[in-house]
Amino acid sequence: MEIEALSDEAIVQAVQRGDTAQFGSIVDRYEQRLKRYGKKFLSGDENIEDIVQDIFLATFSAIQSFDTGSRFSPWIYRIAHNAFVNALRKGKYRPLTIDLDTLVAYAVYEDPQERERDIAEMRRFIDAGLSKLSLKYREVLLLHYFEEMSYKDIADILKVPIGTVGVRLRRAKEALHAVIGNYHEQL
Amino acid sequence: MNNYNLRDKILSEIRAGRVHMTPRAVYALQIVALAAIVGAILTTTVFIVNFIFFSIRISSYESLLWFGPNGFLTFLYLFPWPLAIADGALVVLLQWLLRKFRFGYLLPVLYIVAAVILGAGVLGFILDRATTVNDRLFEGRERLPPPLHQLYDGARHLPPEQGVCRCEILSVKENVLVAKDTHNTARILTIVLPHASQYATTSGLHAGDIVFVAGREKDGLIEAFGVRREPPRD
Repeated sequence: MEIEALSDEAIVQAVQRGDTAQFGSIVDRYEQRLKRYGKKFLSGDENIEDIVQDIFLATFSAIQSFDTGSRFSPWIYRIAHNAFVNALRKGKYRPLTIDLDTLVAYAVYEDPQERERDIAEMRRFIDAGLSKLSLKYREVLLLHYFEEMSYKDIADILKVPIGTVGVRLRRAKEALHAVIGNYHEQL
Repeated sequence: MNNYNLRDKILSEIRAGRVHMTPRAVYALQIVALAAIVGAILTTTVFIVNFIFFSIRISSYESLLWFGPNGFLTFLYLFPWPLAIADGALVVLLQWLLRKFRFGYLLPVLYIVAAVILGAGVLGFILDRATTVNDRLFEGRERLPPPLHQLYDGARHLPPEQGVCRCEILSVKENVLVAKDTHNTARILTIVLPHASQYATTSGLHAGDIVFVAGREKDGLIEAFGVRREPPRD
């Protein structure tokens, strides 16, 4: 079977069995995505190339811990997310905190019919105001609108309840609205 | 071109042996160790809750809840808060550890905390009230290793200065009881009851009855705000 036709999970399974050369396909599939995510997430002078290389090395090192019964994409994004957060907070004191929005359950509705045009417009506004948003809002906007992750995948990447993803996205849009003006009117 | 470079670089690192796959057994061991730690903390949490119930039972503090607002405040004052706070810290630690598992982070924090507290409360209560574990450990407390020895040794906590005691009535006269402390038989107390109180009455009390008394003590005299007859034990 052609490698292109294989799922990420099938390729990872082959790597886990010892066919390490197949890991090159994983690099091919995710390099640009992770670089794009990293550039938007960090929006600084950090060396994205080096960080992404470290992400792939960490992914290979931890690949035996991946359960091929689950989806690979949120798993590698989880590793990438941690790496970018670490790069962002390099040398900074990190107090132990608890996010209030993970305390209780929130009812969420994920619109599967969110139109292409809406997504394109949101991307434009996110690009304009992203750097002014706090980290926890930045990450959900990027993962949902640029990486096209579902709420469930984002919950796995950020390790928060699914309802929390929904409420953060809503608050992130409100925060975006506050920093760049009334984008609803512009839409 | 750039893509080819990174792919090549990663694969050459792998081929050169500069990066290794961590064996699956390491992750399996990590999960087993984590599960064991979670199990140990959960067991300790349940045990502490069970001990709190036992301490309240053996000190007869439950009777305080029948003595109105004064009794309730005294109950709060005498409640073993250090143990409850230690248990609370364990619950926080437990919820942090459970978030390492998928079900743990997908559930809201308060749900996990509430489930652990409720589960530990129910199990602890059942362990104390439906089994004789605590009573047997209490009887053999001298032989228990630390910190269980110290824990059970201090389980019965009736501070005389707080005006609470478990007494055997020696005589009843109008609104005055003369009684001896069941835990210190040399201690003879005079207990004065208020003239009209639903929580403290000599009605139905006789010499030889065991009562739990709460009030304000001064020089061997307790001005009681609550008296309750108890079943005899030890």
